[in-house]
Amino acid sequence: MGLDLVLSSLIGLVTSPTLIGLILIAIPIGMFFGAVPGLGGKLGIVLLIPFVFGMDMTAGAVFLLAMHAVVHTGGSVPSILFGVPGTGPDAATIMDGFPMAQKGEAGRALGASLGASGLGGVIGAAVLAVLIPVLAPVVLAFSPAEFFLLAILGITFIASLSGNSLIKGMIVGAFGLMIAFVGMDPQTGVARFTFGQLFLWDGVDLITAILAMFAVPEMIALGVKGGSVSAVTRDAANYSIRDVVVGMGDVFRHWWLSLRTSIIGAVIGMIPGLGGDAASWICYGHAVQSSKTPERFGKGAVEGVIAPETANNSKEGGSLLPTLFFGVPGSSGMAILLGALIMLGIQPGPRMIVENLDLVWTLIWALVLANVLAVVMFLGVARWVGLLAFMRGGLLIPFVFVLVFLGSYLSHGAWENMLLILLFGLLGYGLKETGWPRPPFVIGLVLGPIAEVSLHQAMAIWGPAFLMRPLSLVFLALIGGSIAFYLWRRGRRRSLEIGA
Amino acid sequence: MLAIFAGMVAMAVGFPAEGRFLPFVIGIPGTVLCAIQLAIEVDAARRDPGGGLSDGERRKLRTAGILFCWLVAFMTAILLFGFLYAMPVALFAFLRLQQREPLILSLALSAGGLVGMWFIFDVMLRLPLHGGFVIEWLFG
Repeated sequence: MGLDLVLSSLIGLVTSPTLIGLILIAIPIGMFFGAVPGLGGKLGIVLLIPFVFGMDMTAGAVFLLAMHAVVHTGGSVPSILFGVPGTGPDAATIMDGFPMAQKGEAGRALGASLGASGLGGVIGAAVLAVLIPVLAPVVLAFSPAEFFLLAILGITFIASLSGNSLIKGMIVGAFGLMIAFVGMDPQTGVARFTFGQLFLWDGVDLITAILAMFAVPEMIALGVKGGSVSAVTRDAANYSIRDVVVGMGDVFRHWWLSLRTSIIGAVIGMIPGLGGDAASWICYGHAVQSSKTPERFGKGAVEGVIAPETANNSKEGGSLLPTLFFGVPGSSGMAILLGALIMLGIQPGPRMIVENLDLVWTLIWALVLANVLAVVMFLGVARWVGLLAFMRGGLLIPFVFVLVFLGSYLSHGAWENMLLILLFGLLGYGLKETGWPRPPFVIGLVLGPIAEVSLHQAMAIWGPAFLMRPLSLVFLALIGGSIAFYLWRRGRRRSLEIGA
Repeated sequence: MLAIFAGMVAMAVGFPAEGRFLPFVIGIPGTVLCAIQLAIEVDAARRDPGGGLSDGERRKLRTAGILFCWLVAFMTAILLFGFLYAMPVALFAFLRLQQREPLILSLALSAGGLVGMWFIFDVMLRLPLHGGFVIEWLFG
């Protein structure tokens, strides 16, 4: 990997009016999806998919990644001002951000969150950049046997960490895998589960399934809930830019904490399935633990805002690593981004490191730029961002419905896909309402074809003995370990509940 | 879920050996897991019979059903009349009838949506949108 490639990617990005323009458009969109409680980055990617059809793969990937990277920058706004988390991982920010707002320090808390988000995003991208040369030989040593087991590992990670029930997670993941088998069998050429329908010969369209499983249930839930997204008064949204700047200075006054939590966040992001919630809460816990005055936390300590916010944004850089180089999404948001990247013609996996390293560096620089520019743009619109939480959900629903059908139709040009929207939309709403996790479905659908092709290749080369290869044994141990960890954590939680 | 898994496994019986291998490897344990989950839920329901759906839950279910009907209506309109004709009408109908928004706001949002879609997808991206079966039958 040469320095010239790193620099040429940066120059290519900053001298391209199209790419810079797309980043500038993506940032307010990402902040919007973060700032409106209940929307979030996953839905943001899903709804932007129709807009990237026909785009060049680099442009499309930069646009979606830049949008996704700054979701938590916007998400901290309702957490701090109203005590309503914009997205799940922003919930940790409430612990000290909301008390700060109640004490009249809303601007300072927002500034700290903003500075921490920007710094965390940049450090997360730096961690990813530093690890690429280390990772390259490891990734290239992988054979079909390891890829098969990696796919299974990805599924167990997500299944065991995305809900309260391992069985439910495993069932939904297995269902995603079964749906991935719809279409022509790559080995025999036999049509499987197609019911004689030509449009299913290529398999169930990934974009259609994602749109239906995520966007439709969210909109129906929003419609059922009714009213505006936030139910608190507007008084809390009053603060000055001067306070915001003071808060940004706090991030650098606590530079050692900011650096530590950024690195922890990036590392957590690399572990598939741990997700943003874990990153922000672990870093919040670390800030409390390492503080000389832990009693201030929960009452409006600025470190309690800095720690989760650095982690929230730095984990995006970390989670790009398994997503791009192993094809195993680092989080549920990355699972959807992975689907979108595949749709754009990018094939994540070890070949990325050989054939598409320039694209990888462009994405890393896009991550850095998006995080820095988000800080600047936020300062300009700070006073109005808080008002997004008062937008009425009912106005969004019909537009999202149209976008869902548009995205589904454009992804394959098959009108029959719109019927699948109804089918999977109904299923997705059922899963959401009954508390079943939906991300494992996407993981199964994305990883299913990789698992099937890799398994057949591994069986053809080594037969069942592929499971006894040294790296295979490592993966089998990791699969067992991830399930054992989940069971231990669940048992511990239960014993704590009984104790309480 | 149990029915879906069992049905897919049953269908896979008819595939050639290599083609049914993974559907069996995933589908059979999936069916077993579904059966276990069903047993857990039946057992939980037996321990805590509850009193059926509350009024709030029934209302929630009804609203969700109405919204799902709107989704079906949107799809039908798009399939029959195409995106460009169906979208503003469907948007207006939803905003006015379901959300009871003011006439001017409903008209403005529907028109804005149409212009936005036409400009982004037709003018800028030049993507072919579904024309609608009725429109194509009428105008070719």
